[in-house]
Amino acid sequence: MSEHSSAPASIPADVSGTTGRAARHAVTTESRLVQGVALGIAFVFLALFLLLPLITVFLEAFKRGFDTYLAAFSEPDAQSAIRLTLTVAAIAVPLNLVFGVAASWAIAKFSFPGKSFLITLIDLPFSVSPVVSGLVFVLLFGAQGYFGPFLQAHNISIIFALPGIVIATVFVTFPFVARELIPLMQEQGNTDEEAALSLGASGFTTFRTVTLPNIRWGLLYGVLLCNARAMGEFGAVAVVSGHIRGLTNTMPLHIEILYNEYNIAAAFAVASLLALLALITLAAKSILEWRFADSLAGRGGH
Amino acid sequence: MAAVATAREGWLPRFRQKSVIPGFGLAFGYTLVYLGIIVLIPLGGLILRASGIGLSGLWNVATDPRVAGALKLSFGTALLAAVFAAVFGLLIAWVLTRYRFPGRRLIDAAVDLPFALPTAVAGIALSALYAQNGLIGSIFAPYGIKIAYTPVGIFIALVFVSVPFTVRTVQPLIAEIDREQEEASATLGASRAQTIWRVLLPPLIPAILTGLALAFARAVGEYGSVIFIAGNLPYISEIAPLLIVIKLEEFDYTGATAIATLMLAISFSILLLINLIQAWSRKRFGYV
Amino acid sequence: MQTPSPGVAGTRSAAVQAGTVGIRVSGIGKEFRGSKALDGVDLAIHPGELIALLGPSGSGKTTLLRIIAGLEFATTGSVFFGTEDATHLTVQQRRVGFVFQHYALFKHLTVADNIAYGLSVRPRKERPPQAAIRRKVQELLELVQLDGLDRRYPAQLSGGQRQRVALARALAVEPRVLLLDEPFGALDAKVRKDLRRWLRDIHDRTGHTTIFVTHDQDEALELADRVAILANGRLEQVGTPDEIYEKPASPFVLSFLGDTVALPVEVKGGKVLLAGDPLDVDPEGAAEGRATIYLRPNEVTLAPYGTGIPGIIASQRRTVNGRRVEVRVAFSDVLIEVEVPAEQTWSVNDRVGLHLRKARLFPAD
Repeated sequence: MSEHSSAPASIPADVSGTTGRAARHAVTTESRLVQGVALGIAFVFLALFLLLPLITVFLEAFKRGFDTYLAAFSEPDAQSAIRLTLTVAAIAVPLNLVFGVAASWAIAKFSFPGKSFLITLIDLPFSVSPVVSGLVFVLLFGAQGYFGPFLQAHNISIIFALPGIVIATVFVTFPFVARELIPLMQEQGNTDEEAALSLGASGFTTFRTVTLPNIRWGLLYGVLLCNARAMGEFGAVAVVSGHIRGLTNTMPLHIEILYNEYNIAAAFAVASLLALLALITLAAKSILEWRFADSLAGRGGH
Repeated sequence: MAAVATAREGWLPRFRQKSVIPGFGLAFGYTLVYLGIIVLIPLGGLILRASGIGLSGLWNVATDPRVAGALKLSFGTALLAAVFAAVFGLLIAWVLTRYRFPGRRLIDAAVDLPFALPTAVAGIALSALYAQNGLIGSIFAPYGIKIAYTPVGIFIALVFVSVPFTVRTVQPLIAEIDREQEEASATLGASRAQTIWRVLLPPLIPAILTGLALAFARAVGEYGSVIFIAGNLPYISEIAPLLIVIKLEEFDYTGATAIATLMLAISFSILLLINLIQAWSRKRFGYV
Repeated sequence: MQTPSPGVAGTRSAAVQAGTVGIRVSGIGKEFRGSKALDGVDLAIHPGELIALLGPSGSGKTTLLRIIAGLEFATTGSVFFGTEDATHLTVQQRRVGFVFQHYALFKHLTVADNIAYGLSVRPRKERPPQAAIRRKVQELLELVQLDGLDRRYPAQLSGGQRQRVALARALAVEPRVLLLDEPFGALDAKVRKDLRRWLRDIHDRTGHTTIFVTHDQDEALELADRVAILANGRLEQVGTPDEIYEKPASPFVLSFLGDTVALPVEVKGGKVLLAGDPLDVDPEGAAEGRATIYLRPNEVTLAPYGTGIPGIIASQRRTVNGRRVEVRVAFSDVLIEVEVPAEQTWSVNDRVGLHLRKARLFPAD
């Protein structure tokens, strides 16, 4: 038994270890030719569909020189867009962080009926079009919305204002942290917490000293994804923002306006900032996955 | 045993099983309230508004030529893109898990780019690439082939957003393939191609379908990466989400609600389908 | 179990299956990243023979089996199927029936489709017609006593049933040899014993040349015509179960087949000395100098003091079958474990005489 489990060294995925003859590649892989062709197709596909667009962002951003690039950020509208984006993320991410921890605590640490239905509900915003995500809030808080007359009477503006943008962003990024934590906490089980409680720790102390260290990398991971989406959300925000320059334009919306005004260089300059954020997110995510594969739950698509 | 006994003591069965872990009430209550405020009430508002329109009203909107065209375009291109991405996603997942080559980890990380890159950024980048004076667009322009501002451009943007779904759903399953199965197939005389086609591929089908469905659901609703490259001509290259935005800008809340409801209904049916596929597969073969 | 199934490999006796061949490996060596997994292994297996590759984990037994199957290739040496040099044949060309430790059944196929798989992947010209395949599957299901389960999926079978399906699937391709890798390794003890007898029965009916890998001595001795013992990539001994047990070629073989006690002795002037006193053991021409006598606990008897080797009871324990007594050889530190019947009772510090019924002398290493 253990002999066989030591054998995987003998069935390597690559064929380089075996000697010369063609018939001698491992039976569990394709011939070198097939491997080469498959690799080639995968490379070309990824280069064409993923890599090239990314490179284009930076190429276009610096096309007119570094001065033009910097000028795009000295514009007051650009600065207010950056400020607004940061503000929105700074509100939305912590809200969903707290929710994610609470939801995963309830779902992973206890058993109750209807659990999988609850998880489905939490996942809902992922399967709703961003535009529809914005629309639902217009229907609630817009001039013709259910709460429209009330809000108008009290002079509160949600749609076409910061609150609307925040709440639409919260909706869109709602599941990220919970999604990351639920499977992770389910995998880890309750034994650590039970040990701490049996040693006399209070509930909160147990959470802070036992649970939190166990889930910190998964938590960070979820926050990263949540933040990337919060800063980059376009469709939902576009619907509720009203595109008021200098007031309700986030960075993605600012990019749209610049692009539609044929101010291509400036559009890509602002876009390059968001692309950089995406790259940092990806890098951090990959480092987390390589380093702490054990303390992150099984990966799945979002 | 003790937990069961306690559960039966009350005159009502306990909602949750007894546990020494504290904080259920707080965590569960907060989860429900927050979920209700952020997700359920807003979506409920949409459904309420839709029920005001009624089925015949929905039908009238759906059969409006411009709306029908947009829905057909959105669902058609999304399906094509998802299928296309599923095929290449399978290949990419295979290459990434089974082959060892320099730069593998980098490419593996790059697959998630569409998750991380804001859609508006992807949108303007794709449109710049595939426009007639763009890097790729200019290759096809001399032959009279337009990519950007046509349905082909929409297709390309949707492939971009679909790729990570299709790769990431099959990848873990490929990693778990039992090498003994491949060897068994070979000892029984099957060629490598037969092994792949008859032994390795069939168990992946549920995952491939799941990835395809997830990609499709995402692509149907996709807005940011599409509108820049789409051209947005009514009846030709106008997608359903854009039509919602247009209706909203015209303060036609009813029209917007109707289109949104139709899209939601179709997306949820797809999600249901995914769950059914997985339940079926688990029951039949003991795995997802 | 006694009903001979018509059509599949015929008769009740241990007839040799038509088409099955003997196997010969010569000079097989295999290196994994610098370390030798196999080193100069020579082994000839007769047509129709059932042979066990026995060894501890890491001995190279599974690697040898996989090299014979063509799942791996040797660094040096050759593999012959009958007179044909199979060294460079692919696994597909070798036409072996291989049963994997964890069965490796195709989960998405029914039992019937699993068994039919090897026939259905043949090139169109060589592929039997559908009806013939179905018939063959039915015969094999009867042979492995699983008739009626043809439409089940592997997930719906017990471990023992899966093992039978795996065997039927391997037999379906009319293999030239049958290779089994730890065939009972993943099963619990009761099922193991049943399947052991059953496998022997199937072998006697079908007569395939069969090699199976095991780390279980009981299994190897009970099941095989001959046993090949491997250690550290080398073949230690090949022989019938009796030969292996009675005339172990090395201390390793001896100790691998059960508990042993090692007695350090000295060969001097044609006599074997234990703690200076001569023993009644024939040195059989062993070289002068230090040597070791290996004993099995059941090959030593205790007698009243005065005969045999003088000793003192150091401890005694009750076991299921009798008693295990530890005897200290007088005037030495040597402890010998002896199995005695339950009726014999001894007390600690009793003086006894030890009689060696069988003593195997090996030069000290």
